Amino acid sequence: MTATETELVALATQGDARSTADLLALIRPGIFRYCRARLGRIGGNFTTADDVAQEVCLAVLSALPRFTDRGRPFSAFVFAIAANKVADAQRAALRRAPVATMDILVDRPDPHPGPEEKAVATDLARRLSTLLDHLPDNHREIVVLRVAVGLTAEEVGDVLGMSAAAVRVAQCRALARLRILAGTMFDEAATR
Amino acid sequence: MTRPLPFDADRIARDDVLLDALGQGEPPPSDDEVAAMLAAWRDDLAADPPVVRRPAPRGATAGAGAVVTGGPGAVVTGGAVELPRVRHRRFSRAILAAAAAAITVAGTLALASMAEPDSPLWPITKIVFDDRDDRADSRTAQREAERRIALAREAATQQRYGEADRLLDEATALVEQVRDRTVAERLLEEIAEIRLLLPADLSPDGLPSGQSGVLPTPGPSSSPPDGSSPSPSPAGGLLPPLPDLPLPLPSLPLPSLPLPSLPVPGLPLSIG
Repeated sequence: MTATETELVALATQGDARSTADLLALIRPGIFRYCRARLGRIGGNFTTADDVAQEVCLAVLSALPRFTDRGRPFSAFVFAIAANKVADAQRAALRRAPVATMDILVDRPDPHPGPEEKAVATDLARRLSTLLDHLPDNHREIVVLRVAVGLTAEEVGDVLGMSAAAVRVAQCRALARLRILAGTMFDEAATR
Repeated sequence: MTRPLPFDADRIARDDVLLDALGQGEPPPSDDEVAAMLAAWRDDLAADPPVVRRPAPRGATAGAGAVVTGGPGAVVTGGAVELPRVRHRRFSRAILAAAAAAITVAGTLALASMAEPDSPLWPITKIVFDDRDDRADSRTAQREAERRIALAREAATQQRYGEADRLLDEATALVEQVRDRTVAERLLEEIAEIRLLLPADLSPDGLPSGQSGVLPTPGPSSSPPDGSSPSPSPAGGLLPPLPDLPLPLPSLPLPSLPLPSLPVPGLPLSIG
């Protein structure tokens, strides 16, 4: 058996190529989920989000040798890079085409609707994405890291510099707000 | 005072369990619309295979070079591509332990600062409050909560709303460890009062959305419609920030009333 995960970061930071590859394989799915969750479908697909995710992976790799000097949790290191790259992409999109941007960013309906279930699921996903835009940034980040990436409250606390208990308070408030927004936006469906 | 507390430990625990389940890819409970939406959103993230273009030279906008479908870590199953869901709890503990070991070797972080008793190898680089003291000492939790409340009030008056919001979340979590219920109620009411000072939507620099660099949302302003934000049920839940309504001011002068002269005719002053 190759080196355990416990040793991966230490070896990777020292430049061991195999450990670096293994470490990348571990973190890559979470990075892709994060970027897709934050940027969403643009023009109906995740191509832009995936490009950003790839940039994040490269940035993490190139910054690995410096990781030990900073003395912070590795997950915080990775998702801080990811958050910065996502913010860069959002700013670049705004600069590039201010008029066309709204069209690009608003998710278009699927031109090739599939079976009914798929259409319903896609619609739910799109609705949730719209609701997320109405959350405060900190709350949105917590929902993304908890649900899309799959981190625990403790791990989210490490990433965002909060205690786990404070994350639990904030995530509860975020869900409460989502429920209120869902009820407000879809009055005919809400039964209270 | 029987005013309901804006803090529901049961709801916090239930939401935490729900988010853990959703984060692990589990199907949502059948009676929860928002949970269903979160699950659908989560599943949609893995619906398309990652199309990874070779990294373009800096400054290029269009993808250059070959297009590679899939890539390391992506598993194709029956047409849909799974972005493998890593067991993050185990992964992160191991990663952090390795980081701790690396940092220790570098001699820059003392092992003693890793204070979580149930995960002794987790490096805690930013200690918000000392867990060991607070679990044993309710007074310390109270003191720490009061300190954060004061800092949050100061941040709010200086319009550092994001920081205030975060401090209030920390304070709320600390109040949970305060054993004296009277003190806890007082602290929670102070927290609720300061929350009323915060705008409905916060961006990272604390400004209401629309004034920062985040994506503008299409359509009307994202603050809740005036007067129609429902409050959570009195049984529990957290106060949502109220919309910015002007205080009602009397527009009519109060009529000057003549002082009644005693006794008022027609009213018996004594029985019988």
